[in-house]
Amino acid sequence: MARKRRDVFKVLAAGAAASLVEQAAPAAETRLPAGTVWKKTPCRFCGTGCGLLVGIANGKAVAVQGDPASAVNKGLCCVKGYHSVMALYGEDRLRQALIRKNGKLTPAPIEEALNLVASQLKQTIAASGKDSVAIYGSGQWTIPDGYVASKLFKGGIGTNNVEANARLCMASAVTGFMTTFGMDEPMGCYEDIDHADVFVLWGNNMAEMHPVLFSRMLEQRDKRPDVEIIDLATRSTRTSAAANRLILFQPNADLAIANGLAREIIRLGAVNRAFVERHVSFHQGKTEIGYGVEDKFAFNDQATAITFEQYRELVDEYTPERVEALSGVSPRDLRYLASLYANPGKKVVSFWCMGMNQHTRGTWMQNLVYNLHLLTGKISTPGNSPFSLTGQPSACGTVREVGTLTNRLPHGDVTNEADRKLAASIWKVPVEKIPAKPTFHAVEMFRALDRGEIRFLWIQVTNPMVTMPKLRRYRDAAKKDGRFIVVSEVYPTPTTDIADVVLPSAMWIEREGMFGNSERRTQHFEQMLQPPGDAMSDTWQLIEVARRAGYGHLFPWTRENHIAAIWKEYSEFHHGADHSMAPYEVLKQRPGVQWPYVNGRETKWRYHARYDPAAKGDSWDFYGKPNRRAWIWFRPYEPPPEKPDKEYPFWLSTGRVLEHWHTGSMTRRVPVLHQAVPAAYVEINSRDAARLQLRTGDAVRLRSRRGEIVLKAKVGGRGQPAPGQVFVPFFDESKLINELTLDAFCPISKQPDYKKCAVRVEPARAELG
Amino acid sequence: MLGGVFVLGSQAPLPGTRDSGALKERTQPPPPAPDSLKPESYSKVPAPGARTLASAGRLRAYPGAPPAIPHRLLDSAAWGGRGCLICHRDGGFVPLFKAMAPVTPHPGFTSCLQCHVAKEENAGLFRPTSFTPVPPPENGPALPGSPPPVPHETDTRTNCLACHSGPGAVRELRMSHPERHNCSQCHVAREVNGAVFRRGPE
Repeated sequence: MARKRRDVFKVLAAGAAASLVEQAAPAAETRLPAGTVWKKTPCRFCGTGCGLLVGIANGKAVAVQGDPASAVNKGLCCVKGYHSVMALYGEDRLRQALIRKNGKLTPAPIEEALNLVASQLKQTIAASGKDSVAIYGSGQWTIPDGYVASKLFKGGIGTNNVEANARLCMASAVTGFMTTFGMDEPMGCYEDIDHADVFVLWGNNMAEMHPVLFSRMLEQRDKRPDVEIIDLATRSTRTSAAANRLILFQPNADLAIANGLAREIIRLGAVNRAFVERHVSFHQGKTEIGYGVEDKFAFNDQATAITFEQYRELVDEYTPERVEALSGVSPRDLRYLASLYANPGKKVVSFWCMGMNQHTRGTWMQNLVYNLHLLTGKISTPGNSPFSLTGQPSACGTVREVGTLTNRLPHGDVTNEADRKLAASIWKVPVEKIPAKPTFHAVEMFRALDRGEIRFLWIQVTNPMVTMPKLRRYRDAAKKDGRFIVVSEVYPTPTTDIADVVLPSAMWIEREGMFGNSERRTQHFEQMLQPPGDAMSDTWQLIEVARRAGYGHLFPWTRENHIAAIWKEYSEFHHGADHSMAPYEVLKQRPGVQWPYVNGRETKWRYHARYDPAAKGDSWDFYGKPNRRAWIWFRPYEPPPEKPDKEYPFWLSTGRVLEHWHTGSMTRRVPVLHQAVPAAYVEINSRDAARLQLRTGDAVRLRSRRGEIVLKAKVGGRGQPAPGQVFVPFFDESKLINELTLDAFCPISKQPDYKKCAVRVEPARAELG
Repeated sequence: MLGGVFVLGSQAPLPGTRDSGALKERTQPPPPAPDSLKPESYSKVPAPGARTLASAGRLRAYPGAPPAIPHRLLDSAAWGGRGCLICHRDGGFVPLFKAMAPVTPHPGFTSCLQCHVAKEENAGLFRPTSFTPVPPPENGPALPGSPPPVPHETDTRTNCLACHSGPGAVRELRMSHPERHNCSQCHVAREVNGAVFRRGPE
């Protein structure tokens, strides 16, 4: 192509007017198919929800640019977004259904596969009861996917066996919001970035995980020299390199740091008394709450009201010296950080994501950070924002708002009778159909599969055979006799490897759908491309199976109108000024609309009468709680379930890299992304590496009490763990770090902790080529 | 990738940047560089004046895609303000690579590695792809001899001269009259969906 272009240039240069000069060369190209159009969509990948414009020519997606009209990214993307459309075109896209025959996945007509799934669903229910069938979806489900799944399983079959990988990703964020505010999802929005003076990143490598928001932050710091970014982290990263200050802490000690900050804020006299007296109440929960490592673990928290004075006494034991002993953070750094929260002249945004969510005290951590904003009244106003970022494009839109978790209903909870009645009336099913008791959260769902209580499991848009902690147990479970596993996928993965039926899915812009991002923004995308072969959307797969299994009356829609019809029906759940959704026609027109959407207006900040149509009075109104106050919880420091010892002396943390989306099943099929990070590695601190005589590229064996893998060392790469810690990204299906991780979880949210377990690190020189 | 090799001149903060604890954290003595990391091995960096549409185009997945980085990262944890921009803000000769550094058209964006990635040599493909980029659109002048419109988006390309003038620029894209520098007086960008394609020629 390039050679031809030069030839064209020569011809042109010889024949054309001199004034055309050299830059006219590309002008002579005429091969772009006529009628290339740009269509808007949210990005397929993370929870930021960037607006993209996808260039479509001759029925193919050929290019991407950032949508300048999107309030999220204002025209800029990250490297995944720019190359996102290439993920549609891996040569091994699944085009046909596969059915396991004689132990081997064999191509089959789609009708046969759908009939088989429906008959297995019916037979399993008949033989083992409705709670023996389950669906496990994802924060990458579109809103219609999740809605149809919930309606089929909770309203049709009558089981709460609906879960999603978002349980592994942001369940603690949900329980954090519910316990503190009584309603899920952030009060603020990305526009807070444009107003804040201080950004505190709680274990959040935004430069790689939310790169577009990170750039917005850097831009603000360039414009306003007083803006400060504080990276509070266990590992030095690209975020640390750009931050004004890096404060390193020991894993799990964020609990102590947050309490220490609250103590300092009180000691400095910086409590915003007027705000606290009118808008806050104080509470205490149970302590020594366990870690969920045993099957059928159960926990219910209990709130006890306390006074401010009692709260002050409880946090008073978190002296800077004690915090330093637990966390390694110096009293000087702690006081500095406290002074930023305390300074009434500074607007503060706290950002966090997996560091605080994937934590055996994840719910507590959310409460503790909200405490800092509530003590100082820095909340629900532009630039004052405790901000829980999500990882997936529709973790909020689908899993949280549609409620595809065992305990949830669309904008409701199964344990709440009014919510069940509303769902039954909208779904036109008897209210008794919807069970009032939650069944299995994600980890327990796979344990139930192991125990044989679940016999039919349908997995959509997620890859649990890479992402489950303590992976071997759950892989072995899925392979057991008498388990029927259906996997809806776009590419072969370790999860399709254990499937009995694989259904080929339409991906992203090959179907119509909606996502909902981290800032309550619902984003519609139309179908721009034809899916390959027999592939169809996950929504339509569910409807096809529902019809074959006798639940067709719940889904009286056509292939042409079903997305609009689903949106209309689903919107009925979100009535009222606190949760109203924009109509379908509005969603189609705009790059995204924030809810509550009331009388044609979006809501940027909740819980303040100046911005939120549901708030009463003239200022803050935390209407999610019956007492219309936000709750400050005292939550103590408690140790993690496993920590380094003599036998396993290193902390292991796992996570993502900029270039890869989760398990890499899409991004690894994009050449530029794969070539940037072709394989997982283990990051080792340079001092530990010197002691173990390891250099970048050397083979290393990592071993935990649950498993071991061999991978290459990386020393002084993009991230540098603190001494005594290692970090491994989880995207690589041939280097399954989750063989090593622990399936301990937060007892309140049931979200596992992927950031902390104990491992041994040994050179393994002979074992990698 | 590269461990610990330090960016040229990175000890001196750029104007307008502040000291950071992060930098201190990172300035422990770097381990010695293995042979493969020495400057001689940066064979993909074109010689001075040798950047062409063909060589620059190979770095993009499709016309308009952010180009990949044709050399190893000197510090893969660096932030642009202290890393990439040392060479790519103002350009000029970089002895380490024996090359003229191209100038970024958007120096306001400092998180360079957000969009631009370095490829590992010999990484190959995870699985084959059937994605085929299409060439850039027809972009001829409206009349013979009239100034051609801008064939790419301009949101991330606010400084025309960064790419269209100077010794680090792509040979075919260097223009004859940089001294006029009010480019948009004669060259206009088209709106999305008004134009067929808004991004760069390669």
